[in-house]
Amino acid sequence: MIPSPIMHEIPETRESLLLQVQDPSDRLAWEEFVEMYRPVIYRIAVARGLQHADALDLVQTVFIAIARSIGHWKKRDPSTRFRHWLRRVAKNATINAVTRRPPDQPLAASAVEELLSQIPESEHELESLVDLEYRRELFARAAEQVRVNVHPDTWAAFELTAVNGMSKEAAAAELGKSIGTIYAARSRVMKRLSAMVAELEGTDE
Amino acid sequence: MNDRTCDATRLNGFLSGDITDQDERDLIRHLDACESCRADLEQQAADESQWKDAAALLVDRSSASGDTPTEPHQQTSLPHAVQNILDSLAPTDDPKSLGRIGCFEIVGVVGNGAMGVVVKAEDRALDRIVALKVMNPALASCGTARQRFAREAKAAAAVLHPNVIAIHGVSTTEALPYLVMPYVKGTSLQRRVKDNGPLPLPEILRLGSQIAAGLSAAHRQGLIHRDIKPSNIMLDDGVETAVITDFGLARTIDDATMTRTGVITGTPEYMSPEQARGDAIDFSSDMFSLGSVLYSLCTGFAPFRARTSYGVLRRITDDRPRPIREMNSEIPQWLCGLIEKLQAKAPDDRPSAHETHSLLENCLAHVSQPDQIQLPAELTELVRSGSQLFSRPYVTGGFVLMILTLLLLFAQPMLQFPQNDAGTNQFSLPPTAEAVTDDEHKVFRTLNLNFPRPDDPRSVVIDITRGFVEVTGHDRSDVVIEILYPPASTESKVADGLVTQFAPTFELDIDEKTNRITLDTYNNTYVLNLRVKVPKQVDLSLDTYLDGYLHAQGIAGTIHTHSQHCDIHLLDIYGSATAFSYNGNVKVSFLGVAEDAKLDFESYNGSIDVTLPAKTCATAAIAAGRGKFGSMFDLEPVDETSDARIALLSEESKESYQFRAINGGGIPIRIESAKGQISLRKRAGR
Repeated sequence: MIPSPIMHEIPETRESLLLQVQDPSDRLAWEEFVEMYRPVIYRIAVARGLQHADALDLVQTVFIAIARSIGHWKKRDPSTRFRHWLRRVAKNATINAVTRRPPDQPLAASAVEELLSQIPESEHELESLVDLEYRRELFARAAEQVRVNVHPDTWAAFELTAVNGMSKEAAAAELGKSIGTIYAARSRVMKRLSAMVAELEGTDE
Repeated sequence: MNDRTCDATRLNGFLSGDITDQDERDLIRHLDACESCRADLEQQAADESQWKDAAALLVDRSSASGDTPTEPHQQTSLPHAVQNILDSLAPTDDPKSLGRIGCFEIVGVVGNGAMGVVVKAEDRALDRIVALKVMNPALASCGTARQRFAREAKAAAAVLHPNVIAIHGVSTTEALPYLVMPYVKGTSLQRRVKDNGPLPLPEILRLGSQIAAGLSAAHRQGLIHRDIKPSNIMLDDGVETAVITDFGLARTIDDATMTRTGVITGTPEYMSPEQARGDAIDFSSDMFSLGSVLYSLCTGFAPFRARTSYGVLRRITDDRPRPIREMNSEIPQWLCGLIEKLQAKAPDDRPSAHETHSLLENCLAHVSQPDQIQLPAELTELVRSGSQLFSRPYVTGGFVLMILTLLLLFAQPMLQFPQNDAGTNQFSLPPTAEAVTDDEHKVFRTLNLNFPRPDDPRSVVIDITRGFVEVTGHDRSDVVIEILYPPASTESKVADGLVTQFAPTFELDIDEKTNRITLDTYNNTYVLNLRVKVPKQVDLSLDTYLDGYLHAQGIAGTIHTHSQHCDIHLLDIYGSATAFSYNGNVKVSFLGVAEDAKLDFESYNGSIDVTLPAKTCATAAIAAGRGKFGSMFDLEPVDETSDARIALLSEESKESYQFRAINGGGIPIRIESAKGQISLRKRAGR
């Protein structure tokens, strides 16, 4: 878990919405999806100028819209995976929610349709912002998984040099390790990190 | 194997954890010296692009700590944006510097805005301290954003005025575009008011006239600032000159193409009503914002406040701010009058920046030498002609004439509208001097209305913003609307004690073609309390926003109800009904359901309770979110031979929104609540 102050404030929709997801493997995907997207949608909303409370509302709105549409999802094509479908729907819904609707409105059935509809051409900029925020969340989650499973010094060697841009020599001095250790540690962390990202993203299956 | 050998397999084994401890120690010693194996190892660990991604995407992680700041949204955006900029600085030799941009040494971070971060920098060539506004790297990669940034720079650079921040230079060619501005050593007006509270009168006049002068210069260049607020006005240290900064949203009038998304950017508290509505704006929008800034200097608070930004917007468009003198009696009436004029809801009623500047300047002269210099004539005029207006703070300009006329109209306590009085009819009820009464049932006015045709299908529409609506069926063919005084218990809900006089405004429409009576009000100053009697057979449409309930009883027809925060109760009804409330509970009980009825009930936070007659054949699609679902049902099992049956669809079907016909039909019912409990039952007996 990332220590983020917003996490616990965002309303829990997961359990209730799960009622609509029948397949247990899909449930797991949904669960991961909600975890991942909750901060993403929140950040997008805030970046678009919504205030805290409105952003939380918007997160809720998007999840409700998606949950409602889960009924529409069918494995028409065996290659369409539930999590991929979710990602696409979430992207549309987030973009449409921040661009079209005033906050604090009840969600009528027609609005759900609208939220899930195609993104207009003009929103490609926002689309890439959603992608960016999604990847940021993905990396943060993966990093947290890796961090708790390695020695703190190993993690520090990676974080100082690969993330914070410290030179390897300075990091070696700071941590009291040899330069070879720094290289070994940061590479091993990076290897695990990219494997973890792939796993969370579902590209490994 | 030893520590001298280069061995790709060993690297691979190390990364996957498949080598012995001894081999690992050897490898690490080898890496101490071997540059090429270091590179190989990193390459095998991940692509170069992944290393870069990790650096870029994880960089704000370390700053996201667990402590909760007062403004949670800044938690996520500020450190991230600032860190992004700091990370992209070029290295420097100067130990005091954080890094370099162009020829500037960055020595500190001043703040961050919508487009980027403001840093304090040293211009080594000219030996001066400047402020750089550096575009956020996340935005710098986007062409539209770069254009917008360049435009902002051009627009702001065109205005040369002591009360507008100067632009020394602009660079849009480097990786991160930036603006060079003088470094204003001092605080923002927002900080000043936050620390010291309301400012003394001469200060308000002095700063107000300076801001107006700066705006006047910008407006002459065709530039609307669009985001005038205390945090965008800097006070230069020492002389305390007001300097308007951050033309981040400013744009020239004819350049209206690029950003029209309707999304709120920044604090909406100082927006003009036309901005809040997303309408086109002109210079007078800045004047409204200036009025709001002056208001906050007088009182210490923004004039329109609410818990959510949406609430703020509604107040800006619908409400009048609480009179300044109720909070600060030291502010003279003429200044309140001027601020009220600046905050006129109609853009054309506001004075220009130029006029405001000279008015405030003359006021300042008057205040410092009251014996020698007169108050500007416009203001004495404003106070004199408006003395009545000011004493009746919720009735303004255009309404005054109408109210005088209507005072005559309403001379009789009962008003009979002629039977054929079709067409729209806006009216205000005359204000009374009486305070809000404790007697909840005291009638303020009664309207007796007749349908154009007594027997045809007829309908009543009531749409109010705040308050209580109680509709009951009676055995007559007319409609009686009693407007009661607001219940005393709601007085506390009336924001900031707004109800001093009760003078609601309505729009009444009696449409001959559709045989419909519509009572409409968009005034949300008052909590209304309506008691309505209608013929029993009528179609009803009720709409409210907050502070009350919708209640209808004994009606046969089609009922549509909608609310944001209120409970909806529809009792003893025949026919068909829908009810939507975002936060309220919905309770509906039918004595009979029409054959072609479509029943639709939805709440987000509230519970929903529906009771059907015993003999109902219905198909219910139910969706519950967090609320209990299933256990609350009090239903007989579906019985093929029984008249009374309800089939529930959602528990076993994903297609909960598709009504499935059972034995050729039944009444379709849709019930949905995200958080409330749902209960669907039949009356006992057959």
